[in-house]
Amino acid sequence: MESGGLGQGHFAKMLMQHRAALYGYIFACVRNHADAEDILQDVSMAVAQSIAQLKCESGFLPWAREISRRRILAHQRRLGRQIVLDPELIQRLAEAADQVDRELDPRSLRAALLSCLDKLPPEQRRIISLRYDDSFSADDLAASCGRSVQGVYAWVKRIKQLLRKCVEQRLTAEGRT
Amino acid sequence: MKPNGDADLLQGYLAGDLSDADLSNLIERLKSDPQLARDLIVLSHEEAVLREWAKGETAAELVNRTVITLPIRAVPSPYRFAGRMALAATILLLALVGLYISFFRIEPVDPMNPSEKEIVQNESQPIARLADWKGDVVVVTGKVKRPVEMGQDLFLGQKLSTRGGDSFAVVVFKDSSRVELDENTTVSLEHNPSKNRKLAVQEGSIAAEVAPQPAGLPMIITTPHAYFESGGSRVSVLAQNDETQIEAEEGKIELTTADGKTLSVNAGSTAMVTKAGHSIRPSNRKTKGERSMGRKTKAPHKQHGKK
Repeated sequence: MESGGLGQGHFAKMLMQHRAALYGYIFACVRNHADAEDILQDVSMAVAQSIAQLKCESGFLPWAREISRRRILAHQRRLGRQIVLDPELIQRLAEAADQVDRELDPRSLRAALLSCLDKLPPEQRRIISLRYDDSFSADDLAASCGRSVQGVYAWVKRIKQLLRKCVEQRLTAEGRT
Repeated sequence: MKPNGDADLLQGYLAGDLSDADLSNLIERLKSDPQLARDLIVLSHEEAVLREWAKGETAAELVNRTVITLPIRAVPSPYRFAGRMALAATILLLALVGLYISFFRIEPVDPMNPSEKEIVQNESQPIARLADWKGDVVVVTGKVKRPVEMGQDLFLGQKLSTRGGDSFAVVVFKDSSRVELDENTTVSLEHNPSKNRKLAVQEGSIAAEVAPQPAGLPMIITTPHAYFESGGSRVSVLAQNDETQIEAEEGKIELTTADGKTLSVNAGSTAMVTKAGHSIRPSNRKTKGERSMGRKTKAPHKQHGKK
């Protein structure tokens, strides 16, 4: 602990726990993975520098999200016309993210989704892994599994629907929805 | 994580696939509809977790490959000898089990069941063939289910069913129309009184690329909730107990719901039909030529037609 706030030891732990939630918010605002990664990196550095200001772990996510909101706007100013974001939308999405935090613990959501991913048959795991790894074009994916591009899209969509159902069931069983 | 009718629209927003008009409309809705904004945050969070997980999977695979390619150090000789003996014994045991199964346990192939024979005789010309398959895939002829064979001809009156998580099948018709069946999907090959070919998606999901059809004889694709005529189009169909989703990727389709309503679904749109009603929304799929999921690295081609 430093000056009654959280110490650097908490920083890595808290960031790991809430990385997906922060990334999700940033990505919902900028809709570009490269920009979202850059902004999250900026946010991580800002959080590391000022973690001592935070008094308790429960305040981490709203606090880090507010830093994210400012960094998104700063990113837009830096890039000028290359990226057009609506400050009101960014604010509304921050409020929505706060609402999601209150309704669902983002960590539970993440744990449920990871658990459901583990239960997928190997071929479905493989296609989702390739789809989200960013290393493959749609044509590569289609060639690798002997389907058309259209078929791969439809397949991924269906697997994601199955994952959503699975997550919903898990959260319901845990009494979180 | 609860899916809703706007899920496709929100997915399209995140993927950058919406037209300028749709994007503006959605942004205005997001600013005024907290529930929609909440759904977007949940969806985006889901994308973040999937991305994080996928990177971990790739890293794990890389580590595995590295470990496998590392030279294996010599084991002290007594253990190495015992290990080799154990390996040899295991191989011998497996070989014996294999021989036993081959010689004593193979059940004779049933002669063609009367109902199966009737269908194949009545329809002496196959209308399609099985171009590829994987996993547990059966063809149902009358009351008889048989595992499929590569290149197998398919006749009117037969059903094709993929069962289990990793199964899929690709059917190619004589006119080059191609239909891919996802896992847990059943389709039947039928024709109606006007001799239109009919592909009935009883359950599951297909992606179809239908070649231009002769005038007046379009292929008809049906689900429990709707049907449409298809020709020169690319569509995806998802038929579930309570809902059908039909996405037109190329070509416009005219859809008729079970209660007789007609809908026009333009390319790039998805129709959702339930017993309660229907809606049409922009799809979240990029058009041909825009498809890219990131960096270009060739994936190794997989072998198919195997269980």
